[in-house]
Amino acid sequence: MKRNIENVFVIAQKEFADSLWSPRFYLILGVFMIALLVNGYQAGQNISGMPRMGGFGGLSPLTMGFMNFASQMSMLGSLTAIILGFDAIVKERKSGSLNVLLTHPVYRDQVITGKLIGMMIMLGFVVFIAVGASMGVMLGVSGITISAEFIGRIIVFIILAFLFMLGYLALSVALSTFTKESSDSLIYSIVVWLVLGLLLSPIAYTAAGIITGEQKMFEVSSDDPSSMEKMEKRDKIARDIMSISPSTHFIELVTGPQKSGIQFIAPGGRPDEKPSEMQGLFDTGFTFGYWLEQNWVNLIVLMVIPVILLLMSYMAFMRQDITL
Amino acid sequence: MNEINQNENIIETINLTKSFGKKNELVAVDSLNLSVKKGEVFGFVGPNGAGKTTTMKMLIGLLEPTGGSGKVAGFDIVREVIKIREATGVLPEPAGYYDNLTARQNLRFYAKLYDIDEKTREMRIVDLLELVGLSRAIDQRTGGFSTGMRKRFGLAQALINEPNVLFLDEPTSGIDPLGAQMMRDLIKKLSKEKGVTVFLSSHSMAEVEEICDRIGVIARGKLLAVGTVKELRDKVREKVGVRYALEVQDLPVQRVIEGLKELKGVRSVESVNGHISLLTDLGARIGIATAIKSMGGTISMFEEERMDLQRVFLKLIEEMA
Repeated sequence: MKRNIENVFVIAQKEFADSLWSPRFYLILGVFMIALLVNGYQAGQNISGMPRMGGFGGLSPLTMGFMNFASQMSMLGSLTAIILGFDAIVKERKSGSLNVLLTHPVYRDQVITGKLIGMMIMLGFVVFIAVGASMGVMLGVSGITISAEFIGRIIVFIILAFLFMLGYLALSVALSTFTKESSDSLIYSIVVWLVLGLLLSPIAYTAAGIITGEQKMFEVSSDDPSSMEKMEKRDKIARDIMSISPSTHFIELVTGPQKSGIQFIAPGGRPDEKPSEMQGLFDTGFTFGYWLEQNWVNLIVLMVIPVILLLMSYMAFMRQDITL
Repeated sequence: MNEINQNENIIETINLTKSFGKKNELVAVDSLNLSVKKGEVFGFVGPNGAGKTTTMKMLIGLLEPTGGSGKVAGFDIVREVIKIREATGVLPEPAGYYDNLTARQNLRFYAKLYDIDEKTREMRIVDLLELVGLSRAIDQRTGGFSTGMRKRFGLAQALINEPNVLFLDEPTSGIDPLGAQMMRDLIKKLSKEKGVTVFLSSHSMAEVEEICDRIGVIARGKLLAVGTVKELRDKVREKVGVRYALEVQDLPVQRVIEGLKELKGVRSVESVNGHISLLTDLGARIGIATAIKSMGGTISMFEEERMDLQRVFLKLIEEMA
C-alpha cells in the first residue's frame, strides 16, 4: 500500500518535472505572464491616478483592476491549461513509453492518478506565480496598501483561478485520452476553447435577441418600459446559454452578474453611484459570506466541471487498451 | 519472493486463453499449455498475429486472460500482477522512453518504482549501462539514441530490478547485424552468468536457433510444437521425411535406384545431377547403407540435407494450414 502511494508520487513528480522543463510550456507561460504583468502594471497606474474611493460605478480602481485581471485569466489561463494537458496521455501512448511504464510494478490507476496530480500541482504553481507576480506589480505600481480581508479575497481568487483552469486542464487531458494523435487533441481542445471563450457570448446574445425580438445591445428607450423588460429577458436567456462555459461562472464569481453594456451603470444613476447588487469577489462593500451566498451555484459548477472531466479521463484510461 | 527450484517451472500456463470481441469471437490465444524452466532461454516464434505478444502481455499482467490460468515466478498472472512485475523485467515492442530525459534519469525514474535504496540505485544504473555498452551515453538524452542504442537501453531498463525472468519481445528487430549480435551475446551472458530465465519472441529463426534452449511455435493462437531445435527438427523430419544426397561407387545409378525403391523406409528415390536423391523416413539411414553394401556398392557420399529452423518453422505452419 505504502509502495503504491509512493509510486503515484514518483509518477506525479515526473509529470511535474516534465512540464517544468518543457520549452513549449515556458513559451505559453511566458505569454500568459507578460499579459498578466502588463495588466497588473496598467491597473497599478490607473489606481495611482484615481481618487481612492472613486472609481467607476462605485467600484474602486483596485476592484476594477481585478476584474480586468479575471477577464484576461479566463482567456489566457484556459489556454495555458490546455497547453499543459493536451498530450498528457496520447503522447505517452504513441511513443510507447506507457508500454514500458506498465511493465513495471504500477497499476493503470496509479499512472493516471500520478499524472493528474503532477499536472494539478504544476497548474497550482503556475496560478500562484502568475497571480502573485501580477498582484505584486499592481500593488507596487499603485503604491496602495491592502487590508487583511482583501488579501483573503486574493487567496480566494487564486483558488477560483485554479479551479477554472483545472476545468480546461481536465478537458484537454480527457481529449488526450480519447484521441489517437496529439495534434487532434490540441485541435479539439482549441476548438472547445474558442467556442466557450470567444464565440459563445455573441452566439448566446444573438440567439437570445432572436428569441426575445430585442436585437439592439445598448439602446434602451425610457419611453418604452417593455424595452427594458425585453432586454432583461434577453440577458437572462443569453446568460442561461452561456452557463455551459466555465468562463461564465468564473467571471461571475469575480465580477458579479453579467449584463450587456450596463454592468457598472445603474439605470438613471451616476457613474460613481454605488450599485445595490454585489459586483463580485472584490466588491468590499459586501461581506465574503454574502458573496458566497450569492454565488454558491457558480462555485459548485466551477468545482464539478473538472471533477466530471477528470473522472471521464480516469475511466477512459482504465478501460482502453492503452498498450501498443 | 516465491522460491523456485532449479527444476521447477518458472513460467507455466494451463489452457491459457484470450479472446477479443463482444462475444469473445476473436480467439488470439487458444488453450495454451506452456512451461519454461528456471534459467532457460525460451524462444517463442510464430507468424504475425499468431498470439506471441498477447501471450506475453497476459504473462506480465497487461491483459487479463478470458480462460485458463498461468503463473510466473510462482505468482498468479491475474491476482498477483504487481508481484510478477517486481520479479520480472520486460522489453516490450514497441518500447518508448522519456526522450527529454537522459539515460540515467530514465533509469532513475524506473528504479524509483521499486524498493531500491538510493545508493544501490545509482550504482546499479551505472553498472547496467556499462553492461549494455552505453556507459558513454549515460548523460545523453534517450531521444538522441539510435535504434540499436534504444534496444540496449531497453534491456537495461528491463534489468533495473534484477529480475529472475526477462520477457523480450523482438529484442533485435530493426537493428543492424552487429547490434543484433551484441544483444544476443548479452542475452546469453545473462542466462549463463546470472541464471536469468529468458522468454523471448522473435521473427529471426537464426537468432532463436543460436540462443534458445527450447522453442515454442505458435500459430493462430495454438501452440504447434515445443522442444529443442533438434526435437522440433525431428518432429518435422518424422512427418515430412528426411532428404539425403547419395553417391555410390562400383554400381550403376539405375541399379541403386531400383535396389532402394522397394526398401522399407524409403519414400522416394531419384537421380538428380549425377547423384541420388532420397526421401526417407526418420531412422532409415542404416538400412539404406546396409542395402547398398549388400548390392556390392561403396558409399562415397551420404549426406542429409540440413533442415534449418526456418524450414522447420515453415513446415510446421504449413502443416497447420
